[in-house]
Amino acid sequence: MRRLIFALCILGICPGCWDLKEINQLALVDTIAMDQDENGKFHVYFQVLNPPSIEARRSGPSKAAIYTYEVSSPTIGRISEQTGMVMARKLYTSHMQCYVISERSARKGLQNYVNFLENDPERRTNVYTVVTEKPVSTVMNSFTVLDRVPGRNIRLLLDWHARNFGINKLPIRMKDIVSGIPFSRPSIIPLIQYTGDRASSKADQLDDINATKETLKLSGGAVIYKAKMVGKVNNEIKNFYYVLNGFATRITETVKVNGETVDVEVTGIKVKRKRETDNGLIIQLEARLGILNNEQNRRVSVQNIRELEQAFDLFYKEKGERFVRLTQEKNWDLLGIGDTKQGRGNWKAIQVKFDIHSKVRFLGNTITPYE
Amino acid sequence: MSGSPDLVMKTYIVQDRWEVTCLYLSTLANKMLVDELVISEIVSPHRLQEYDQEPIEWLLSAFKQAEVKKVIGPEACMKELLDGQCLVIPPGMAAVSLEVRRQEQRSVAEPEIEAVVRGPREGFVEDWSRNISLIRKRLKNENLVIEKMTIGTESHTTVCLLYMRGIAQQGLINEFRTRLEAIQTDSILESAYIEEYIQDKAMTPFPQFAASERPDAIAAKLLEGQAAVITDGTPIVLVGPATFFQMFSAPEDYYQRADIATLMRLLRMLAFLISVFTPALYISVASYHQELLPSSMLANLASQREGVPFPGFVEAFGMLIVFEIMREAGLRMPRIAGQAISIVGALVLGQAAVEAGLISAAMVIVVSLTAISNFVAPSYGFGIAQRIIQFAFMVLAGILGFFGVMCGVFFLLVHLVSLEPFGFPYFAPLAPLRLRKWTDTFIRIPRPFMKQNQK
Amino acid sequence: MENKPLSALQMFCIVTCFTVGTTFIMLPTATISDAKQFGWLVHVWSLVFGVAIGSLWIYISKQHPGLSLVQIASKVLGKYMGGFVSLCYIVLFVQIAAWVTRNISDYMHVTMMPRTPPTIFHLMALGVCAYAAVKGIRAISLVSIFVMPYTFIAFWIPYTVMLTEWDWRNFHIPDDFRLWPTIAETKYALGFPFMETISFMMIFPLVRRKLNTAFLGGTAFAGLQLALSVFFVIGILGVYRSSHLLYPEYTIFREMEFSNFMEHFESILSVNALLLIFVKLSAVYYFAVTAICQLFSIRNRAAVAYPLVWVISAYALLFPNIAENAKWVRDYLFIYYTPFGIGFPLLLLIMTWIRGLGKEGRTA
Repeated sequence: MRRLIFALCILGICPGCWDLKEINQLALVDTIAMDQDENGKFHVYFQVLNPPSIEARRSGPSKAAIYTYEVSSPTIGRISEQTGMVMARKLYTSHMQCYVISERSARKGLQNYVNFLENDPERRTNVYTVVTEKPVSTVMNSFTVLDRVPGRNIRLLLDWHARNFGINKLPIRMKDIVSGIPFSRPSIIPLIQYTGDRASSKADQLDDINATKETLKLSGGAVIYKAKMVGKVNNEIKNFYYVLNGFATRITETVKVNGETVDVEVTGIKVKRKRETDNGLIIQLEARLGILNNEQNRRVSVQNIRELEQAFDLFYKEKGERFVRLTQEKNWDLLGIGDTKQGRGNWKAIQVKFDIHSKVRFLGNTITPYE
Repeated sequence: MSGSPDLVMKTYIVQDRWEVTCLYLSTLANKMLVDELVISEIVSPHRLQEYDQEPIEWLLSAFKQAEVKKVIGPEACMKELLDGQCLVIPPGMAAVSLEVRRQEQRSVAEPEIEAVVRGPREGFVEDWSRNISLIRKRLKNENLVIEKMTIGTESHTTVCLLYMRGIAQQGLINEFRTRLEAIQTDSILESAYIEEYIQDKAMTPFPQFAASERPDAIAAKLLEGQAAVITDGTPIVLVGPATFFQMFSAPEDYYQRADIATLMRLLRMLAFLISVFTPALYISVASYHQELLPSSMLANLASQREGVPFPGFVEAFGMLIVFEIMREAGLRMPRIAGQAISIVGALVLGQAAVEAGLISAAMVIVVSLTAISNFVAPSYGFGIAQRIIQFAFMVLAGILGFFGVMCGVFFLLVHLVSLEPFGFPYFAPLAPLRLRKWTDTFIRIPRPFMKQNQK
Repeated sequence: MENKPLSALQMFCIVTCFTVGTTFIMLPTATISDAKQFGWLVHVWSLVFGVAIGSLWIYISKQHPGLSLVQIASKVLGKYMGGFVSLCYIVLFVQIAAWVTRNISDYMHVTMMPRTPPTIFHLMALGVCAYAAVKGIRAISLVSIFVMPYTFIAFWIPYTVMLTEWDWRNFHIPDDFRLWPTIAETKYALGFPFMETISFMMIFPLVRRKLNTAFLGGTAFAGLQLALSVFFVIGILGVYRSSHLLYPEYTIFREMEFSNFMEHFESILSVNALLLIFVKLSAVYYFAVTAICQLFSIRNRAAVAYPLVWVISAYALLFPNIAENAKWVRDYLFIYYTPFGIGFPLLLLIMTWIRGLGKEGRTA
């Protein structure tokens, strides 16, 4: 006992707290953007929080909420070392909100980023990843409104985006790219766009009332196959991808009924796959409809509702068939048929049929539109 | 003894035949009683001496008072004298001692440390016989056994061992008696002296006895089969052997509704965890594991700590030491100075230190939370144990973060389960697991459902 | 040796903690990369093996009531031969203790504290466990009663939360499953941890009632949890990713999010797992110390326990890096454990029969 106390005392005296890192010695990184130029040189942008300016007690954009550091290095592993040249604090990436990747490096392949990120316990891969078409520096050097920290802004944007699909998390994180590597189904990562012409890198531009003039905006998705970007799709396809693969349970669609427009909210989507023959697959989709906007100038009757349901079923069937044709054309197995026993190796040969059942459940506040 | 100014010695001629010496200490004895009982009886006797009666026999029969004793030998006489008795010495080797003690003591008052909202207001006093009467009043039972002994070669303090025959295990009582009798010391001035002698020889900050100044609490513990030790000269009565989880139960738990009592107990356990782990958690989170904080809170904390010169460990340790100093000062200082101290404590050390950028505001919250939680423990001795382990955990967290804390937790667990005061496992009923006992540890079920009280 | 008996519950908990111990941080990545999506099945048959071999040990122990492994060896094999076998076991216990210590420091180093030298972790962990070993198996097993349910909750809650990430696709990857080659390939899962539990033969005599249920039940319960956790890892992280990660179970902790503001709980959750490992380490430490005390008739456990800290912490530095440790586990561990888990016990059993020393022999 006495010896143990002695040993503990010795232990208490000698260690120098090797892993001690005080909060105010940390550079809290919010977003990391990665880019690789034509010469193969890596450019990494770190957005570092400026704590006093985002503290809860103070309000207003007194100072910049974040600062962006750009670091370049011939190999990605030396980036952290390089940051030591410009940053006076220890890089701390545990509170990352998102990764931004330039289109050109995504097309080159994300394998080396993924390997690097997964290797280090301080980096996380369960954060959102977006691909940007604009130069990374523009995106990274711009302030955003409402949430002055761009990384958090993107994260909240994507969280809200996911919520609109009726799920908590979309499979658009770095780790989803990793775990998607062995599968035949590509992942679709959102593309982010900066709407302004040049970066709004000064905080005083936040005084501009026009919020959408210079801001970040989601537009379409990047198709990532085996950790490599192979193409782009528009929002329509991207959303339908989430629906058909069972991620989304809610979506908004526009249907033409008797030539008039009806906007419906599709909820409670259930997708089932049924093997019909050796090379035939039926995708069954059940959904509830709620009317958001009805432009038909007539009373809503049971008859009319039936028409709406039929129109939706037909519309979705056609949409599904268009989707299948697109996958065939582009050679992207967006339905993941190649990952099933039936379609392994020859997913293109599988005939896909759609079987849609919808039911109108909610009509909204007006039982019938004003004529 | 002869030089003592309070020694009164007077010689009377009794029955016209022999001399009787009357001795007492005027500071301890009641002079009125001496005059009334002794002098009057001897000088103007109602009964004459029988012809063949020894003087001592006559004296014994002459006093009508109940507490009359025959004492033989000078040492025994001295002891009686010092106990406040009046000695009447006829010719011969023996003497008669009479109970004439002056009943000078404070009256039974409300306990100051263990106050209750609902429940009896009586507290123990410094006199052992009075204390026993307080317990007897509650347990009118012939099975209440009181064993009196005198401990201390110089102080000759009266110590009583109390237990319920038939409820307390005989082995436990024997162990208690052996340990009490084995005490070799010159003086016992407070029950803490006894506690140190009879506790198990394990090095531990945890109290192995509960100490209370409430007769109702002691009576309840006696009924549970524990043994109590009353020491003359102190209102604090020891009762044991205690277990870890008993430290969370207060007498008041049984005087209010079972559901609220259960919640209060769980709250006290939570407060224990808070007071032990909060500073350690703060240090490890602020210095090692920042990822645990939500991002926005981390930014807040970072901006608060911007400009604070000390690392988290020094900050926390310093503040808690300052708090300990303030607490110690609060205990010792004269009441009149209280206001000044609290202003200095609250304003200067709290607010001004934050505004001067010496410490972060979060640290003040941590310290106050810890400090308040410290006082929740019903047992004061247990609160001291909490403070000791709290500092130990802080050091561990400062060195190795959560790893250090976990090593400490494991060490503490091993330590707690290996404590077995008087052969009773300290960490019961959690380990060893006794689910039936949980009904009166982690929860308190209503009394009609408690099995042990139905007889 | 202490004489205070252990209850069946204490035995159950300590066996569970011991078996789960380091296994669940070390093995999943190996079994998943070898057996792909059937990795969890590996643990199921290993647990069957563990229960079977455990029955053998209990049978031997029942032949010599009241005697520990070391005492049985010297009784059956004579002073010198038995002493040699006991010495082998002592070396084994010390080795296991060293590996467990090493696993702790590797785990801490990789996941949380990359700068702290491993020796500090070794000394801290061993110091605490040496204290536990001095306090005795009763204290360790009582702690395990507390630790087992606590870590059980702290482990499964995050896993349950992570069920939102579940993907059945992970079980449908192409792989033809052949039973025997897979068993042969993953034979280390039989040895580690199910042959390490032979060390419990040191305390079998302390359990007076329901030894079979407690020991075999503990083994089975732990094995089931291992299998289930690997099943969850496959479902949540996928075969591809988890076979590339060093500590897939830690990654699950890392990626758990209760909601947007309650995330990144990995340090608290993974440090909780340390409690389990501490129980394992202090148990095996206790076995080593007791075996030494019994073999050389030493009374004072502390005199053995504290110097052993230095031996074990030095031995723990044997492997230069985790890859060599993993290679050792994969290629040689089973073969190395076989004499201890099967060879010596069988030898003891046969000698018992031949020399007629067993309980049955005496009654006959």
